[in-house]
Parts: sequence; C-alpha cells; structure tokens
Amino acid sequence: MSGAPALEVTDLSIAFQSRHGLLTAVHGVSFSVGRGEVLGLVGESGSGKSVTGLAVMGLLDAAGRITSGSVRLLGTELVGLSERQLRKRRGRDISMIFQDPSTTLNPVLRVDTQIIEALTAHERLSQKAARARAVSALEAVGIPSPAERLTAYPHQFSGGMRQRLAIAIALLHRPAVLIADEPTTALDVTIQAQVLSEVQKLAADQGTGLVWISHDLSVVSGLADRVAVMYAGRIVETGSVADILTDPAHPYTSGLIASVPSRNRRGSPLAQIRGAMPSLAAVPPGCPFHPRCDFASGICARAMPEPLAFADRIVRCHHPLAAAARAETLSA
Amino acid sequence: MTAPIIALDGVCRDFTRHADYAERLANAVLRRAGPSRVRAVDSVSLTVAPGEVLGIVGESGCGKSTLARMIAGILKPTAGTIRVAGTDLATAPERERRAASLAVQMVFQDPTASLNPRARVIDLVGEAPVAHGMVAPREKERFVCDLLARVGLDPSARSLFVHQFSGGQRARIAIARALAVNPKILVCDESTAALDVSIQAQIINLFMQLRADMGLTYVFVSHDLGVVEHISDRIAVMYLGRVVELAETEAMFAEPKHPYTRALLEEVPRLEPVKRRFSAVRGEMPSPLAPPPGCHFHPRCPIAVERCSTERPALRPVGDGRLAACHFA
Repeated sequence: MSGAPALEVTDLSIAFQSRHGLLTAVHGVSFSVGRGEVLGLVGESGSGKSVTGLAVMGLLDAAGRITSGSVRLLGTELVGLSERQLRKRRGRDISMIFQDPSTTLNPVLRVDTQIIEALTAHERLSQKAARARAVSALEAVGIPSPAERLTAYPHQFSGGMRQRLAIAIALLHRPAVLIADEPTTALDVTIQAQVLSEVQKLAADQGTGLVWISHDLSVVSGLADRVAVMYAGRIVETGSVADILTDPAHPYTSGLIASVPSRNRRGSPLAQIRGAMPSLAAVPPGCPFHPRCDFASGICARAMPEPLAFADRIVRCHHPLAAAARAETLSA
Repeated sequence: MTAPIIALDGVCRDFTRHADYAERLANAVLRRAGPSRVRAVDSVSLTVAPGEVLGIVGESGCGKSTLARMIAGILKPTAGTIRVAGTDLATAPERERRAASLAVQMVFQDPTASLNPRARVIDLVGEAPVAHGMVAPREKERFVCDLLARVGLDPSARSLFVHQFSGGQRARIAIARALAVNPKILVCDESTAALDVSIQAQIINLFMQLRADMGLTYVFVSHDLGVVEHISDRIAVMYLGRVVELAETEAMFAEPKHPYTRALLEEVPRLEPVKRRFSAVRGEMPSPLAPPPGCHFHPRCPIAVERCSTERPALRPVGDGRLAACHFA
C-alpha cells in the first residue's frame, strides 16, 4: 500500500490505576495497518490485546490512560484530542466491533433507529436517503430481506445476524480502520465462516484497514496479512502470516503454534507451554516469558530483550529461534 | 469386538415448556396447539467400546450437551434406553443403578459454576468418595493429595478455594473431582472451551495421559473440531437433535460422507500460512421448535432434491463400518 498507513501506533503504553498502584498493561507497542491490509493481533487472556484496541479508539475506562506514545489515524494524532474531537472521528474514520454484539446494540431501539442515528451523526442526510443507506448496509453484510428486518429489534436477530448488524453499523461511513475484538469467538463454526467471509470482502472492497484481535491463531492465519503476537503487554513478534507460521522466531509464538491441535499430530501429546500468563501485578523481571521458556538463560531473567529487526520482521528475544534472526544477533 | 460400555438405543429427549394460565387460556380460545415441544435429541443409537474416545460435535442447539447429560445420568431420556456397563439406568434396581451412575462422571465447561465456591478443594474432591464409603474419613486427606498430584496440582492446593486458582488449575480441580469416585467413563462437555490455547493443550494432554494410566473411556463433547479430531477415536456429528454421521476420526476427516460434515470440516479455521477465502454454508440452523420436514439439513444443503424435504434419511451403513444419514451418501 502506498502513502501513509491508515493507522500508525508508535510506542504506545497504557496504565491502569488499581489497588496495587499504577499497573502498566501495555508497554511500548508499535504497529501499523495500511489501507485494505489485515493485521492480526494475537495473544492469550491478559496479554493486553483488547486494551490496545480500546486505547486506539480512545475508549479506555476511567481507571486507564495512555501514559506515552502516539496513535496516528490517516496522519492525524489522536492521543491528546478532546472527547469532542474524538467523537467526530469515531464511527467515521475508525470504528470497532466487539465480541458480544448485544452489548453494543441498544436493546430497546429498533434497528433502523440505531443505524440512522449512526449515519446522521456524521453526515447530513434526509430520512429517506438515510433509510436507503441503511437498507444497502444490511444487504452488504448478507442479512436477508433487509427492508423488513430494519423495523426489528436486536433480540429478534440470531447471534450471527446480530454480529452482522454490528459490522454493518461499524462500516456505514467506510472507515479507514476497523478494529475487531474477537467478533467471531462466540459464533458457531459455519456462522463464523459466514461473518469472516463478509468482513474479508467488505474490508477489501472499501479499502478498510482491519485490526483483528483474537486469541485464535487459526482464525487469524486464514484472514490476516501480518500478525503481531502479544505477551504480557508487549508485542513479542511481528511478521507476515507465512513467515510466522512456518518459521516462528519467538519461543512463545512457537509454543502457541504447537499447542493448537491439528491434523498431522493427531493423538500425540500436544506441545504445551508450562505455567500460565503472569498477572499484571507480578510480571517477572527481564523477559516476562522467561519462567515459561525452554530456551531461557541467565540474561533472560535480568534484561528485557530489545526489539530485533530482520527480514521485514521484528522479534523481542535474546535467543530467537528463526535462523535469519540468529544471524542478525551474531552480526550485531 | 468387546461388549460396549455405553449403549444407546433409540434415545430421545423432549423438552416441553409449561404454559402459564394466560397462555393456556389463549390456546383454548384460539384453538391453538398446546405447549411447544422441542425434541432436543431424536432417536440416537450408538455404542462406545471400553477405552474408546467418542467425540460428539455439532453447533449450538444440536443436542450434543443434552445427549451428554443423558449418558451421565443427569437427565432421563423420554424414550429409548441407555445402558452403562450393561445396566439400564432407568429400570435397574437402586443399588445397581447407583453403582452404574458412579461409573460415569461428568466434567463441565465452567468449573466456577460447577464447583462450590465456598468449599475448600479437599472437600470438593474428597466429599463424594467418603460419602459413598470408598474412602475412610481419616484417609481423605491422603487420598485427595494423591489425586491432586495425579492431575498436576500441588497437594498444598487442598486447603484453598476455587477462586484462588487460574482457569487451567480450576479445570484440573474439576477433573480431580470427577475422578474421585473411580469412574470408568468421563463425559466431558466443552471442558476445554473456555481455556487459552496454551492451557487447553495442557488439559488435553492430561486427558490423554489419564486415559493411558487409568483405562478411561471418554465421551468428549465439543464444538471445536480441532480438539475433537485430536483426542477422539470415533466422531458422531449431530445436527438438530439427530446424529447425521458416525465414523472413525481419520476416515471422517479424509472423506466426510454427509454434506453437513463436509461443510463443517471446510469451515474449520486451520493454521495455514496462506490467506484463504472463507466461503460459507448458507443460512443458519433452523429453530428446533419447528424443524424442517424430511432431512433437517435440506434447506441449507447444496445437493438437496425434492425427496430430501419429504423423506427422513435413516442413519445407515455406508461402507467401512461408517454410518451416515443422507440419501446420497
């Protein structure tokens, strides 16, 4: 993609005020998404992936705040903007869909009311034109008989249809960036495939840059161009899907891939990563992954590895697995 | 083949919603049919051999959990018989029924919902075997410690409460609780669904190791085809209350016979280094209150013909010991 990326996040840190004092949930995260590009943000519970998505949208709750870094949307800095200025952008240039659409849709308003409100928030439109746009939006996400369904309430839709509704609303203004936080996790396999196919098509047609947040590496691998793997608030590895799956550089990525049950390893014990993700209040010193890592040495417990760039990829590890990354460490 | 340890024959389960007074009145005045009835499980017949792992897959509302609960003896079938180790759970005398039901234990999806939050682990795990006279009260502590070690927990965990553990550890406690009465069969209903991938791998490995150590038989219910494929010897695919295909795991994944199985297998997201186009089966699962006539899958089926909407296909042998319920299998 040419020109400035649709979304560029640089060195973003996010902290939360808690009983244990100020806890940093996200440390210096950087990534960018071009128009029409799909970035998968992968991590387990507590890795900071959802908080990153919320912070980019300016939707952190009262206890959380961005402590440093920048979020540039189409070249404009979002960090430090007032709520009023943010509202002008949210829904128009950047929008978000969540895991549970019933929490984003208003249960007591009809679907048409909600869609038209979202439309007229950013555009001057006649009721008639807005209604026509609403119909075509529902049509685009594959909701059958859209004109009739407009007058229904969210509870009259099935789970998969409700998620399509949320996607339709998020894409009304053809935003440059869509942040999707586990939107298919609660759906059945065949319905998940339907939603994935709609999103994939729409993002490509409208040139929307997509940030797909998920714990499920398999979903991301089929959808994304690039993947960023998060662990304990840091991106530990970034690269193209093909590179990361065939030649993971970080031991955590490699462990994640090996933990997924798959055809060729049927019946044999799954590779497992021992232990569990540390809590924010007790993140180990040095590399936060070292207590669970098979390759850890003395330095891993003392020093946080610096990001190492090699062949269009970045890894944060003292002992990277990929051969190309090792060559880079030796020459450095 | 050895005698099956679980044998289901024509098992059905209906759920009826009891109409309130206003509804009964409205039904009478408008001459409508009585309370709505859902057939959650529709004439399922299958067997499980000792030591075998049977996977049951299907999407929400297909009846897989209801079937699992009937096998575990939590729900009674409305029709058909369930025999566990040769004992018919419905008609056997109390003493035999109790022994047979102890032989089947269930591991649920959400340990926080299935384990008492106000009980310590030692009681959660140790209470049932003591109550059933399998363990003497003074042996309880040692028994619980042994069991905790077996599922990969530190014995010091015995004096803690459920909320003090992580998700993976809670799953281990739920498994220890199920194993405490020395069952022959574990029925696992989405037991790894709520766990992160790396933790899920730990629990799946534990299940497989326990199977090898203790010769357990599993009925493993999940919506996650990857997990089921990994752990099961045979798989039953359910759609809207009926088993539509039953086959050895490898044969099924190599060549699914039923169009629904085929669709399901195609949609599974897999780890693959190339971007793919998701192409979806059209439509959604119909409401179980008003299932389509004939073959339940015909409105979504790419190869359906006239006959499919009128005649219900029987689950019949389609070669190599496989069963499928499709006119074209």
